[in-house]
Amino acid sequence: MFRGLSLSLVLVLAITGSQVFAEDPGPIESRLLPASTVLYLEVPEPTRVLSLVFDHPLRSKIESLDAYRTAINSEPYKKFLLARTVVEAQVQMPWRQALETFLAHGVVVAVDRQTEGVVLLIRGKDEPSMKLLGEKLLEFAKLSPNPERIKQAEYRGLQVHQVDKTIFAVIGDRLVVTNKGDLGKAIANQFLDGGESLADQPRFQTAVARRESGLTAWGYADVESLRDAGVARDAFFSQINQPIAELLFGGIQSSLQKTPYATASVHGHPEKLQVSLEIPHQHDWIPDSREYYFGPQGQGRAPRLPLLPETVFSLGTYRDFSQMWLRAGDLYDTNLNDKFAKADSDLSNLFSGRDFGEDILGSFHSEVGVLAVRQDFTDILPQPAIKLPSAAAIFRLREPEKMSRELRRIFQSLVGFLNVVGAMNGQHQLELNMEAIEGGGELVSASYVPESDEENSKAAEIVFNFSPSLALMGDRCIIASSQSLARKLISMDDAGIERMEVNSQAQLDPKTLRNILADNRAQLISQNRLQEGTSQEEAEANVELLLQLLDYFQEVSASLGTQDDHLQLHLSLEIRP
Amino acid sequence: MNRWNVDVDWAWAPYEPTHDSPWDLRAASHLYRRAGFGANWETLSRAVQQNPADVIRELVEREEPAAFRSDMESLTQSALASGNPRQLSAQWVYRMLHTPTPLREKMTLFWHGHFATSADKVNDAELMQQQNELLRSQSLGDFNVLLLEISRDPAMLEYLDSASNRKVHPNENYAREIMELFCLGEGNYSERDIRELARCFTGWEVKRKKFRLNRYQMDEGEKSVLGTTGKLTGEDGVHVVASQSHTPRFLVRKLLRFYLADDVVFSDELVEPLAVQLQQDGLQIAPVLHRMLGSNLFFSASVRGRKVRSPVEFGTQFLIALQGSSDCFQLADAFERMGQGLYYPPSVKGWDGGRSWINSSTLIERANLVHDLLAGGKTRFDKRTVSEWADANDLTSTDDLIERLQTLLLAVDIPDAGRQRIAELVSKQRADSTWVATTIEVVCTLPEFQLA
Repeated sequence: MFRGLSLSLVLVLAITGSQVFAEDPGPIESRLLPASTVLYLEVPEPTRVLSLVFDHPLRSKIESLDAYRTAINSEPYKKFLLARTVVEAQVQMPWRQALETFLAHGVVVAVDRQTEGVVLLIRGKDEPSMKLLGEKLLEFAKLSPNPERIKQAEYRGLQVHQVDKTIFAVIGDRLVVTNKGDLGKAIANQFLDGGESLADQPRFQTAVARRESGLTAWGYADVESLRDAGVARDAFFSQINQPIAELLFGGIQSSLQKTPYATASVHGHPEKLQVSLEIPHQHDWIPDSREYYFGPQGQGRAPRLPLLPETVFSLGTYRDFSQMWLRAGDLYDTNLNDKFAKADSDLSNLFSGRDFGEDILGSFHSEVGVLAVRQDFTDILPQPAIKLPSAAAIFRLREPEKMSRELRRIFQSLVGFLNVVGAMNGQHQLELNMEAIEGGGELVSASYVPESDEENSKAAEIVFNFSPSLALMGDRCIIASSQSLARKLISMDDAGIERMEVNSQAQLDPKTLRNILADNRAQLISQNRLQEGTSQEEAEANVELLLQLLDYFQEVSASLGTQDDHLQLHLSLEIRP
Repeated sequence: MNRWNVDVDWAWAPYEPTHDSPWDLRAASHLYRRAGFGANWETLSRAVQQNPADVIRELVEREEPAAFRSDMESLTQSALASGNPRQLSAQWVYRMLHTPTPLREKMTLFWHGHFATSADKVNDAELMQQQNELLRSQSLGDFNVLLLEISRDPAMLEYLDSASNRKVHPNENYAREIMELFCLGEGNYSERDIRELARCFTGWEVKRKKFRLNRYQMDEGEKSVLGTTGKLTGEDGVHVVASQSHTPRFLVRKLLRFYLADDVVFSDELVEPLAVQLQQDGLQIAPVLHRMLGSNLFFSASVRGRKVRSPVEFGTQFLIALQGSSDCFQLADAFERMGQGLYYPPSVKGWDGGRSWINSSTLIERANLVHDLLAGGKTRFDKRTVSEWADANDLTSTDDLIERLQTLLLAVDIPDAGRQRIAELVSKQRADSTWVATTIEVVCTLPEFQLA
């Protein structure tokens, strides 16, 4: 029968397998999967995930939104409800109960290198439930206009169904769905006969050893096998050739060229969602050309940034920009290097003949901080119509005595240059200010001069967000888009001095982002009207919804660092209680 | 070019519905298509319940409601806050789609092509918008006022390199364009008139985005422009040009080409009654436009389908007829690719219009726009998907839908063979809801849909 169909299939044997899983508190179906499995993703307790979604305190808040009420009255939602009702009638259970029943003991998705197949393994509450699910799936398939596309077969005593290219079988308390018969057979044989499986692979075992308990989801990728198989060769080995992407991912790419595997762990809690990506990492895997990324011996650490009220975004990182600039020849292709050479020449001219890579970028330490802070325009005129946050970069100088004077002069030249260019184009002029800061520092800033008829404007041009500033104190150097931010930062003794344990750390404050957007509510409404073609009322509702949604989140953060010979990227989303 | 042989008295007499030219949905659709940006079923149905003269009067005389004006001002201010003239294009598209005074907006578009000024060169959103507001406020008013104001408009002066006009070296650009392109047409002035008129404009400057008269740079000597001699100022020069007998004839011809037909030579006999009226009305635009749009000729078969839809008409009429809303940035960009970038006319001559709208490239862009609007998630039809819109309007068969589209959007009928082909084409999709979008897409790529 199996040969007659010339299909292959899949299956599961629950009774024999259940003993194996009972002994294995680790990855739930790894003994079932072939040793050549290269990608593995599991949700060990879907009922917990369902509970997180259905019982989350945020749910009642979202359901109280006007937008939610509008959505549930929309045609697509009504169609979804109709389909859900049909499904509920078929399985004779409310849909949450159905999901909890059919997904009771875990869901796994895996990709096998040898067969190039994908498999979905679902382990339900018990055998009758999964038998019901299998029957209903078959009934739904038979409702289609071409029932002849459904085929049935038997493999080693197991009933298998095929609908187009999708093959599925229910055995015991498991449903197995795959797109490749050979993969299905391999899994069936594994259940029936045992043998070498993914769980026996040393790389997988090493990864599992670091797997925490109580995870919401966990994933594993056999990077070495994928790399050897030539999968995503460009991502592993080609030059990134984009300076911003190089700064963000260059070091990670070098590590991926050597690392044997990667894992992803997801922790879901009512108040927080955390995702951690991890790969084994050795600092000597990083070539000299990318030493700028992790620093000598991989010891580069991000500076701890000062805490300023209403900081919407902060990024502390270790990057040796001078080294990256000077090693551009090793990092980028000829075309981009030509652009670097031109930029180097232009910037060297702008910086009074000083070599940009060596003298200018080289004058800063590699610990860099970037901050964006909401601006307060309460007592300031003119007020720009579009209110942007002010931003600042925090550096430390290698030779403060020498460079402070140099930077001040360069800043003044730059303001003069902008004024000449601005005058030719009828743009606002900058007025230069210098002041001493308590503690021996100085603040050099430039403010845009309003025309006489816009001095008291509350809808002035966007340039009135900016008063470019340079603040210097000891070896600390602040370059800011606004005078007030530069003054605040330079007055903080510890700004950018202390180092953290990670290479990079970024944070986003949704509440402040919400406040910044609220400052620009009228602009957002207009933008929404033009972009969506909505009426004023609809656009107001859309913007209000965006602001309300941001209200639900406490913090978004990401950090990149090394620990115990592993490179770790942690992402976190905190929900407001 | 065709030449019409029509009875001039009949042509400009007020439209009287007849058996051959009834006041019906197709006639109302023709009126709204030419005098505005199209109309939806409800508007057309309401219009045919009224006397056509009343509908036309309302189109001409209706003032822009203060609430709408204020709403648009806030939208404009937001666009200006970005400082990007391209954002203004999207804002104007939005205004065209929602205006309660479509004729005023259509005339604003007409004057934008007539007094063509491009943000590509001016590169100042505020000045461009200032000019746009001027065109709108004077669009149906006194041409003398409009001409004088546009002559002192900073965007216009910047565009024609006339932001600084000194007596030792008078700039002849604006003097040439005001006679050749704005008022008289070629052959109705001499090179000497240009030089003399340029002297009148000496001392006119733009300083800090505002018009200014620099009295020290003003040529106070005697000038002789188009037969008028004296110590003429710039304002005098503009008045001399506007008061020429060629001016109303030049304007009437241009209005006829814009509102009636692209490829027709309008005889002097046909133009004369309107030109005389325009002159007698002191160059007031609204009355002559009222007569033109309310005439027998306007509703006659000779005028129907005798214009090629401009890109702006193509996109706005499609959406308005189907009660649609969409991404105005996407629309503005598409209009530019199709050859009509709002705030970006190609030269001081404006858009050539007519058959020049259509070439192999713009035809593809037109088809792409309809496809993108129908496929794009941002386009809603009366706040619904296009299939839901068809259901809500009881358009359950391909024939019903084609009939509705023909009434709403087409100036000429789709031949029976064409209808049959469309029906065959979409018959395979009748099982799902995509047949509505496919039918509309096919209809809107027909040659008939390119005509207004």
